[in-house]
Amino acid sequence: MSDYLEDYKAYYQLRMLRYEGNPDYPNSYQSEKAIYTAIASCTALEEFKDKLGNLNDKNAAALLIDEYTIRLRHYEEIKEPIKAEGCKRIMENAATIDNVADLITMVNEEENKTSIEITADTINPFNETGYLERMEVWATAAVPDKYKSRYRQYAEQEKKNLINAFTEIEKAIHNWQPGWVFDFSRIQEERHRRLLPFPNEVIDKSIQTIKEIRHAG
Amino acid sequence: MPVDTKMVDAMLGTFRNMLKDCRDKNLSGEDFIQMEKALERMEELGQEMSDVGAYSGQMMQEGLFMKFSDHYGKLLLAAAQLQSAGSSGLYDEQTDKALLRQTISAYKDAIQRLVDNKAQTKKMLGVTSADADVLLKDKAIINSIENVIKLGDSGISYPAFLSEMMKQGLDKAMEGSIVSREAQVYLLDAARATASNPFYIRKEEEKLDLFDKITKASKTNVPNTLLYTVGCEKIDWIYQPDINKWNKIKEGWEKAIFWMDEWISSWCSFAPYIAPWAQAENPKEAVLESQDCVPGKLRVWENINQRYFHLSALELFRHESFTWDVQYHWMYWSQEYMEFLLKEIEPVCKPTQTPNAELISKAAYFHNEKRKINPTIGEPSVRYAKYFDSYFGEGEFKKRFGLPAKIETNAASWQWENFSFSLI
Repeated sequence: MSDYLEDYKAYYQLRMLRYEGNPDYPNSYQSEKAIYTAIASCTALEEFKDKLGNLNDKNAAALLIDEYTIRLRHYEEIKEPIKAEGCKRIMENAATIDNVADLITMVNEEENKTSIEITADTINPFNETGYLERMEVWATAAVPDKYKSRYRQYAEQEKKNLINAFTEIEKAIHNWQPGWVFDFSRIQEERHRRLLPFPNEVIDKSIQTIKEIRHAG
Repeated sequence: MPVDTKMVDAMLGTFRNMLKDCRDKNLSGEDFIQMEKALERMEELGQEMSDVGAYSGQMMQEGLFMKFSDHYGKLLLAAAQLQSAGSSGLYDEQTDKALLRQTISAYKDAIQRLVDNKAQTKKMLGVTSADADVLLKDKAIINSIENVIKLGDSGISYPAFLSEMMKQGLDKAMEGSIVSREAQVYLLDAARATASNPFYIRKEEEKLDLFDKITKASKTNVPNTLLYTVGCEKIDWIYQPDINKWNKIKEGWEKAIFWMDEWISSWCSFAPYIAPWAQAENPKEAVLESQDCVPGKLRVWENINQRYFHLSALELFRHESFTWDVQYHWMYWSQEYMEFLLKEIEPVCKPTQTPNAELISKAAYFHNEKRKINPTIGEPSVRYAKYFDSYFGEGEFKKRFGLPAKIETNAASWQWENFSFSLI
């Protein structure tokens, strides 16, 4: 025959101990501790319902905050501000919500918002260096005069391809974020810049060239 | 014109099934209505729009997937609460037994769903249905669930059941962590078999180490999935700049070889009759263009790479990516032809210069004697086939994809120790 009260006490104690001393889960530990304290003070199982109150909902929020704190720390470390901001919003909101259903809705909404922001945080097609490389080859290769006019045309076509690529990306991102325009300053932000294996002067010159081409086009 | 039905079906299929499942279970109420509305809107947009990208973006902007899932979650939560209602209170013997029954029943349903999903996948895979046994680790998951069911049926109380689940790590095992290690080993084996560069291999090795470290640190010997996920993301983050640089430098020397080969081959008398010139509208003119223009293009390319990496055309070849491609048999060209291009052609492949008769004769020799191509170029496919077969069965790679046609070449295999950069 089970002793339900003792079984529940043991269960909640185990849940609390799971987080004890774990620096990643301080809120969960406190929250589990509050539930354990509630059950530990019961002399009959029937008392638990009242003593528990909304501690289970608070517990869900605590776990959420701990887990998003882990994510936030990670995104701050790898310098991903958009993802870090998304975590911060969820953590701030979670602290003010005291029921699980609303918590789920809030997380879904914020994750959706962050996901759109990540999609819009692109430097495509700037990172496709082939356009400028081909343009330079066609425009500046030392070739006999009889080829020069044709090679200039090839270079012009490459310019058009580049302009089209920027137009296409803007059109594509408008599906997620209406009015989005390519932002050149984003290229210098570390999360993008570190992925471009070129010296600063190459990046600066490419930005300037593309701006001029787009302006003229 | 509406979005392609196949695309809409692929995107909305799961949602339609979820709604049908709720309807079959006679679930109703405001959340059910909101699920219906969200799905109706998704179907409506599929009819109104034509571009699949725009369609997907619009659904994202309106948060339709999110709304549907949100109300689905609430509907299930309400249904579960309703099932446990009717007893005298939340925590008493009657409720406890009901909760345990409900949990065990859900796990039994889960086994059935896994079995059904696998059967469906096998049907879809047709002749390669045995792949499902390799890729879907349902046996390990089902074993775990069966252990959970056995525990629940052992006559213990609900809290004792939950405690045991935690002690044995079964709660985490149910999240799928039991299969994650196998999945990581599979990825590591794939990276080693592909061997496209050292970073992909290192990444997968580090992810496996991370998995083991996190598992070891866990009180229940089951890894914390979140710590593993962010740890893997960090490993990818660390290596991505190196991968990008590697690929770009490799592109640098690959294109340089391509142009050197095009240029010297264009001087051979047979050039108009072989690719790529034979395919041109006027092969002879195309040959002349290669002779006249390739050196200029090569030198612009060299300037570009100088700006990027401060490496000359020849210095690009000293990069680790070149060594790697030789050692892992990705190199298309034979050692003797590569030495010819680097030592004898590169110095003269300059605008307005022409190669002397001896160089043209040597180039013709490499072509005529079929000594240009690396004889071990098929090795990456063989290597990958071996890996594939180790998972899917002996001879499976060949049966499904065939092996690449044997390259006709009389060139000797690369002897890396004899390839001296100092000679270049």
